[in-house]
Amino acid sequence: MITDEIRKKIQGVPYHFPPPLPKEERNESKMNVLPESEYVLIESSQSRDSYDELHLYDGANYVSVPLWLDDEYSAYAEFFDGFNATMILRYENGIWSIPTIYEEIVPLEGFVVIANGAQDVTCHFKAEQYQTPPTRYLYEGWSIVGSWDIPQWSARDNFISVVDDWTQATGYDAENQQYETSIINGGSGYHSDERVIYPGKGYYLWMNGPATLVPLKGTKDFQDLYYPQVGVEWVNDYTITPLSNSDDTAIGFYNTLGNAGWVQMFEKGDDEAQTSHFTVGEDWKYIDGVDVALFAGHGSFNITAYWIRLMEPKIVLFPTCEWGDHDLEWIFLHGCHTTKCPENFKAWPYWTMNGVHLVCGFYSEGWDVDDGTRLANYLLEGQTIKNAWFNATDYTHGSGIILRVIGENEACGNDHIWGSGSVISDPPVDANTYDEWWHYCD
Amino acid sequence: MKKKTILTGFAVIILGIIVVMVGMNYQQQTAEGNYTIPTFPKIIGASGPYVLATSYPVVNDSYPAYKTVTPDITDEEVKRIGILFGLSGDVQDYRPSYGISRILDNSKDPYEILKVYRNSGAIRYQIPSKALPYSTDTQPDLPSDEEAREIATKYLLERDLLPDDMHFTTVSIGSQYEHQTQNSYTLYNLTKNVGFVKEIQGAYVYNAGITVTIGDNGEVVCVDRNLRELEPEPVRYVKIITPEQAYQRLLSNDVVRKQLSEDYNVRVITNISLGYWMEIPRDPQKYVLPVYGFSCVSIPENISNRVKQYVWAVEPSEMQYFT
Repeated sequence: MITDEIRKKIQGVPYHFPPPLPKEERNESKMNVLPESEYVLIESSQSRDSYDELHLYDGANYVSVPLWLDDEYSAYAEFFDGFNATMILRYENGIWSIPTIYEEIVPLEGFVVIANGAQDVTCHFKAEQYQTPPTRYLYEGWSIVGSWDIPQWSARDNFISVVDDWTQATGYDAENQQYETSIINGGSGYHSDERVIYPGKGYYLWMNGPATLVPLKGTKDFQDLYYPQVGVEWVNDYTITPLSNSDDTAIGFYNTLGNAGWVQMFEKGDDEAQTSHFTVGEDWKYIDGVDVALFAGHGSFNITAYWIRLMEPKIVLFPTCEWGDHDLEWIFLHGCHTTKCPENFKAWPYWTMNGVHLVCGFYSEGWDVDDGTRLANYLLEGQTIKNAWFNATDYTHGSGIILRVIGENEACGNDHIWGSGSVISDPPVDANTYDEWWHYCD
Repeated sequence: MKKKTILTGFAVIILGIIVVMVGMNYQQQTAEGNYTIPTFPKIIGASGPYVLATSYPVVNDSYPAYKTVTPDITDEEVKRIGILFGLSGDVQDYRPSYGISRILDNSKDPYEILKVYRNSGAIRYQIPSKALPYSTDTQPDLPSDEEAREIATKYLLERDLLPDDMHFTTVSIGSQYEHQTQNSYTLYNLTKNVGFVKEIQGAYVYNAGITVTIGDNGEVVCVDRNLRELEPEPVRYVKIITPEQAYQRLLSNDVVRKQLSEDYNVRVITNISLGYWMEIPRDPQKYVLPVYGFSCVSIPENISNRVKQYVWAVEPSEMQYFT
């Protein structure tokens, strides 16, 4: 049972009981802490087909759709055609409501189905090319949310766009008709936010304030203009030659864009900065999951191989990266020699430039100074990406420092950030060509 | 003197060993393929990666330190400076927290900008699309170096922006555009920079000066003037550390500003000089104090560049006068 102590706080976070269903008293017997119980869909493999059937148990089911439904099947009436249910409920801004039969079932929005007996519902998803990532405005308090797309992400990753606002996510074990152990933002053990948010399920999510939920996976060009995303990584605490201003550069950049309405997706510093965030495999969750990214820290080279250095012994070799095949348009690498060898950006085994428009960095050494806020301001006031990098960095770097921007093509050189000027369509990636701009600081 | 000779000779031996080590590392890398995971930085001796290949300069025991004159820049003064560059328009409080005002003249095509830094008195005039062009398929018509120097000097003198204590230093490339394919390589020089540096009693002022950027057809497309007015008389003479002590500070990375690179990037010090340090235009600065400048060449030189590191020269006991 939930104890008084737990009622007050769980792992430092005020505990909130999920709202009782209409006409239902809060049933604390449903609040059993079930640390080992985790609801898993009947089909739990990664393949998309496994989510084409939504299995519902007798009683309350908290569900969602992980992808957009085909137009012919997206209304509640169409989706549940022939289904035997007592009630279908939505919850938003503190109010339960019964959706009309014409309302559309959309991803990220969870709802409750009170089923009369176990049944399966077929999900008719739209074709892949029509699966535009959604967003959802969340009010303060409880919402019922779902996840986007088939991959199973942790709660931490799933709710990264609202990381400053969510405190608690609670699933519901429909088979046992009991709430699951709550997931706590920053929690550990059973409450760890590394626990998975399963596609197809609905979760109560407590928000301390309103915010927009943006799926972790990049929103690509469909909604970049409306929900542009920013992420930064930085390192100060190197064992060898520690730095002082990487955090200022990265966080200043991050917050300045965030204050201007950009969705802040991640800010990872020191030992939180991970190689996998940059490299093939997981980059789509981080560096390649945002529109603009910035790294501040050491860059380096060793004759032919150039890389950025995270906390020892972690490094990021450029040929292990593949940026732009998901979302990234522009990246700033505030470290020495980061664009010294653009040949490495289209080399074996991976192309670092695989759709990214521009990579901005240093040909020469750079200084451990704070350039982030100024860079973001220049971008927001409408300078091109290239010029903003040159102007912002030139400001703190004197004679002898050489900046270099690598573009997929010439037209990329006139890109602005979303909302501050023109952006070219994602350029075709050419294995052998690129364009460069050099600036010699004075 | 004998000690210095021995040190220099010792440095040359160390340098030779390092070159061999780096060379071995190179062979190992290329033998295993271009992108093998590199080994971790080698700590090259207890003294770090800066190899001395020059003699220490002869310096005095003390040098003058100067107090800056806090600029009092009104909107009218910003407008007056704007007129020097042919700009009209309102003075905007562009970045109040940093004391930056600007005039954005949209009546010009392309538009032009003037920024004035109230904390320092520095100015930057720029025609952005010409100073940092992005697209070209023909080589802009740039003046020769000598012509560039004449254009810049005349431009500044006509506007009374070139004080007597400024000296021409060099003409260099300002920006370039390059298109690279598998079989071709096209490089355009877009602008040239003409540099002027300030001297105080024969010592250069680092991180400051005037740079005039010249673009197509010899047009002045940017002027950076990062200077601060100093009181004519020194606020006091300060004792400075010796070049040997400054070198030790450099080895322990006790520098004015750190670099964003790894220590195993070996650098050979080719020159040591005494100068003064000026902060970036945005920041207030009460005193202008001496620093040692270490000119370095990375080894192997062809894959890196020349850099300069700075170490405060003021004797620590003297710093109490400059808080």
